[in-house]
Amino acid sequence: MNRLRLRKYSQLYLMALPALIYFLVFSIYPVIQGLYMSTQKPLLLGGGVYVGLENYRSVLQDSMFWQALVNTLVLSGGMIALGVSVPLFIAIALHELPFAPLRKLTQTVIYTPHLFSWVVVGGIWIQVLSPDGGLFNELLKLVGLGPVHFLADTVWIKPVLVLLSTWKGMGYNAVIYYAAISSLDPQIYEAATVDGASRWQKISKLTLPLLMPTVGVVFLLSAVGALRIFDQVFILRNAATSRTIDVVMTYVYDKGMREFRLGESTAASFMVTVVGLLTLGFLRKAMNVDDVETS
Amino acid sequence: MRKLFHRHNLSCVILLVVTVLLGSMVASAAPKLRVVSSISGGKTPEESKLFAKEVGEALGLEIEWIQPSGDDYLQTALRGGERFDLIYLNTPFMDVLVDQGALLPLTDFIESSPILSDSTVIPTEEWEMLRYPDGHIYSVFNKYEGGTLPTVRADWLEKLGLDIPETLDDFYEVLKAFKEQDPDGNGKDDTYGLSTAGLYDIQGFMGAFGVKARYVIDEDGRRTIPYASDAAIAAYEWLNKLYREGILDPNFVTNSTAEMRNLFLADRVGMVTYWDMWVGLFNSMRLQDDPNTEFRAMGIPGPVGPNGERILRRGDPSIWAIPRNAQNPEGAKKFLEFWHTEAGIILGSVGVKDYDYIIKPDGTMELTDIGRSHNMDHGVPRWYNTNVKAPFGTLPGVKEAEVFVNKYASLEISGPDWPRAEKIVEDYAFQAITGKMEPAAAVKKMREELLKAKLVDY
Repeated sequence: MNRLRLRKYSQLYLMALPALIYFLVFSIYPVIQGLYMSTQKPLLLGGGVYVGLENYRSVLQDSMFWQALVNTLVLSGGMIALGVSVPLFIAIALHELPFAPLRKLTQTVIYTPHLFSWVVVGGIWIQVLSPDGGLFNELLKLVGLGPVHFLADTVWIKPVLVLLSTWKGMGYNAVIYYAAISSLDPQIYEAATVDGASRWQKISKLTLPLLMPTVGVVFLLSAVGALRIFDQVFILRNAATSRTIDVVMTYVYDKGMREFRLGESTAASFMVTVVGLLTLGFLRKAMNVDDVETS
Repeated sequence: MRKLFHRHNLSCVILLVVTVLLGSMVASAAPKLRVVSSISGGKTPEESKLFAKEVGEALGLEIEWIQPSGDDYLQTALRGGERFDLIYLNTPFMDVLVDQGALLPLTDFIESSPILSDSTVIPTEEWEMLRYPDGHIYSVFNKYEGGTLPTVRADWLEKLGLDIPETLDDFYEVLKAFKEQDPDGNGKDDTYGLSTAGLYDIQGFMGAFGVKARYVIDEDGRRTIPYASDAAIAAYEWLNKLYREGILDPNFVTNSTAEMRNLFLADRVGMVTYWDMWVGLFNSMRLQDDPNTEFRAMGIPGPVGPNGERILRRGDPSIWAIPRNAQNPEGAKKFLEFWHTEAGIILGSVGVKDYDYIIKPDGTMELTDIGRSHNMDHGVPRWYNTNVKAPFGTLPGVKEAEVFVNKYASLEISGPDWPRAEKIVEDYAFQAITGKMEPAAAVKKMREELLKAKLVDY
């Protein structure tokens, strides 16, 4: 039966082969290499000394790794919460806007930050939040408040990072929500109008419940990337806030590139990958993603 | 006819392929030198090509001069199997490579080299900075490194009728005046007394409290970090006072060195702590912009401590090394000797002939506009070789600053644990300076964490 199926779809399998080879060479092979390296004390001119699980033990005993893990969970928790919810409200608000050109303009403005790299975004906000002539602090000065160095203050830096990440990414998620809202059956809304539902009732009783599968997808996508946050932290961290916002990926970078401990760096990276996969599996199960896909 | 044409075409293709193959064989037969340096070389990719050509002509080698923009490249490339003949390093990375047996020992070569063993080219005692406990030297200096020190606007001092500060109290008064007395005369409250780039170099001030940066190792080999000692508390209190009163640039935490330099050049700050060489570069840059400028930067020693002590920071040596898997180590050694000859020094400082400078009919050198804008720095703004005189003299203010560096500066000890220790030290030091924690409490916590993480012995 299997052989028959193989023969029947042989052309399709053949067409998929280049992609399979690509993944084997550029994804699977480096992963295996990385796993091998995590059991080594790698030498920079090639090769290495086998050290078993020593690198993993060393990482697990490092208080900075645990601090980075806690920071990752706190930051990514905030980023997911706001990153999933704020665009939802924006998308609904956009959909309610009656004037199409204004809607399109707003959409473009909100989406634009997503197109910039974190280097650009970081540069802009470092200027805006600067205590020396930065726009935000000048406004604070106008209302009689003292300058706040948002990017160097251990109390402010986490909320700032979460808000900036939300600001940068909300356009992207808002587009996903907006597309989902636009594809909702208008007859449902017409029926609700006939039944005398108010605008708020339509949003709360129809739009939001109908959007829940999309919210689930956006949540899943955000959660998958949560453990891998790096760019924004790398760009916006400084010596004063480093330990407050260092995440697992910056820990991996520092271990490898600043301390030249490639084995420990790779081991930490693998642990993050395993935790990420477990989280993904758990979320898929909890959200019944597979059931939804097959039904 | 058509067949003949096809046959003719085929023979043409074969001939072309053979020619290309032969050509490439001939090209690869020429001795080649692969050099990686993120600092030395041209200022642009085009100039780097000219630079490589100049080196190649001097050594009779084909040079591939690779100038990565960051430090990460070298580690990644080496691990990725790239083979280089000569690499430009800082000492922490050299420590790792030596530990892994990845560098060729150069002790015998240096001792037998008529150029490098000449104490007028490189002072004999300087080599001890590069010698490892196994007795070997694995690298050769790139340049004379100099050190860092407070650099003050001498014209502002004059304008405000202030003397060069000596004690901590003097420094406070001068910095306060820079903040409050409108030294740039623009009628706005927009100047700061002092700016730094993080804790990159506050050694000049910490020195007044007898506190040395990074590690100090005692006679028994036990490590401590003086920035985490009780002696540092008063230093943090003093810096906190500057921060609280708005004398210290509030952006000092996030400043890059370039941002700090720009503030100084833009009349926004009266004092920075930076390399002695930059005293000259500051003056030169402003003079280029406006030959009538009043701007005058001056290097001064840090405040003197109650027991007469001063500590400045000497720069970690930047060095050249030959990887063990180099394909042309002999060519690399030729380069290392050349780099310390007059021709090498002129190339590393003034730059490329007929690009950065020209030779006039009377035999004297003249800088081109491009050369002038490069400030005589192509990796070697200063050198050890006392036989080579700077063709255009030194930049204004450098010689005077150098005197203080030579008198008070000493090397800092880092070691493989420093990057981890640095995070803890800087975290609490910033909290103390910015007033988030009481300095005494910050130092106590800092020391406790360092001890717990086994990053210090006491």
